Amino acid sequence: MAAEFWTEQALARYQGIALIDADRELSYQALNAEISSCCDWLNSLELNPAIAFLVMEHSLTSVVRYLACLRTRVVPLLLPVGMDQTLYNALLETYRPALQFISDKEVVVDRQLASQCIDPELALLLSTSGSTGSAKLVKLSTSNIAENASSIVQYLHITARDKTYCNLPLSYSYGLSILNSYLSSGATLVLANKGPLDKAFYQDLLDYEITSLSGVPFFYQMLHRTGFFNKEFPSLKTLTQAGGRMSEELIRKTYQYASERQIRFFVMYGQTEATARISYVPPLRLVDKVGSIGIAIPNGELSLAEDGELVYQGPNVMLGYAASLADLQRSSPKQAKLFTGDIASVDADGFFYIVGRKKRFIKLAGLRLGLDEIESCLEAKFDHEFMVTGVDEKLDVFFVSATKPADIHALLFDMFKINARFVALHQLTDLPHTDNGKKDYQKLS
Amino acid sequence: MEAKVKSVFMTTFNIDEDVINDELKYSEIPQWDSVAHMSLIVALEDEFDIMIDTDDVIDMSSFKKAKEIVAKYLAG
Repeated sequence: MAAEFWTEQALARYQGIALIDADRELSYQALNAEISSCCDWLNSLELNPAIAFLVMEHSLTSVVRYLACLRTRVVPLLLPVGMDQTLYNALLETYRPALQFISDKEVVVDRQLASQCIDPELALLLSTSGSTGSAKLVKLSTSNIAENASSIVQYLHITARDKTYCNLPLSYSYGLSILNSYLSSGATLVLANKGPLDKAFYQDLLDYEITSLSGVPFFYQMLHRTGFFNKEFPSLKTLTQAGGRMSEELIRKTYQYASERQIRFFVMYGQTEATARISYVPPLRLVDKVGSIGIAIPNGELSLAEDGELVYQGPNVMLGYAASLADLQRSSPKQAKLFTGDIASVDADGFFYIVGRKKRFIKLAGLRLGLDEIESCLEAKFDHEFMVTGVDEKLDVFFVSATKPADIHALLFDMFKINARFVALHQLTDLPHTDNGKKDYQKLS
Repeated sequence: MEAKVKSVFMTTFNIDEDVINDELKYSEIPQWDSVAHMSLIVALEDEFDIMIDTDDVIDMSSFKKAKEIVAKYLAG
């Protein structure tokens, strides 16, 4: 069993600075004290057990609340900043939280919704699409969180001397996994809502002497386009990439920069359903394994089902999905295996390669988006039939009516933060259907 | 030139003309986020047939700056 890094004893082992945000910094000792007082406040509300909505800013306040929830019997659903109000309200309706941390400054308590019966194993809820806040949630246990953090610490060799820059959303499993793994190692995290397009980002890397950076493929595209690979950052030791397939060209470019400077570059693969991380390519093997998702993380196991679907097994596999309040109340049968929905192959050295998708979802700029969800949202709004397909980095929307393209683009942006650049609209005279009346996606391609 | 830059802003961000003025800054409206910024760079390069340097990708932090930077490249 991996250690629960959020406990008082675990955090008390470390002396250094735990967290830095735009306003202040906290030592591990001070972090411990702030979590304890937040726990006291939570306990005084006598809500336990309860569901909480927690909007995760890049701030100490948000992180303290998250850790306090893990220590008490409050189960947080982590949500992104700036979420669409309609989606937020739909979640409210479905899960009826007793507590809402709407922002660092705004908290709503509804005691009438407290003391719900909640699965005792349930500790954390994440949305399957970390950035849009889909109503379908992933249920995670304390053991899921502790185990995945511990596996990540092992293969990335994170130590108390590390100082990472965390600008990924903390409601997103990849961003959260950085918080969890660096805190379990006694390292320092700089929480910032800045990226390569902000001048201050580059200054921060130098000023804080950052040792590691993590990002989705789009982050690396921005690094490339803003001249990162022509600059020197003497403290930098580790780069990690996850959140979708990165182009081989960009992997090679990043690898070249990294290897010339003794920086380890990790290409990784994961899913929220596995808390975050599933596999990684050991940096020394990357040069021969470009395009691979690598090997399973420590304590995990990858295999292929008969139809070629990638199957993961490990202590970080979720408790199950939730689509209703009732799903939070019952304990799910323990899932031994996670069927990833990706079709894969494996080479003679045991390295896995994704070759296709079984499920209907795509990744745009690192965001995972359910095609069915987008489709039903368009249909609800415009009241006629849509078909949505796509491959990574491109969304195809098929429709028949005279809906204005600008209205479709506006909806896709407001609800899902999809930029028009990634969308191709196709107006057809008819949408194809199968004999039994189902939408026929095969005919579209 | 200003009209062309404005039109690129309108189509890339899907915003109305009256939102665009010299004070419009990166990340101050939801439509101008990092993804949109990268699209903007590509769209301006296509529109004016220029290659924007890495430093200018970061410097282009307002509508005013965008016009100045494009003008610099057009002056050659």
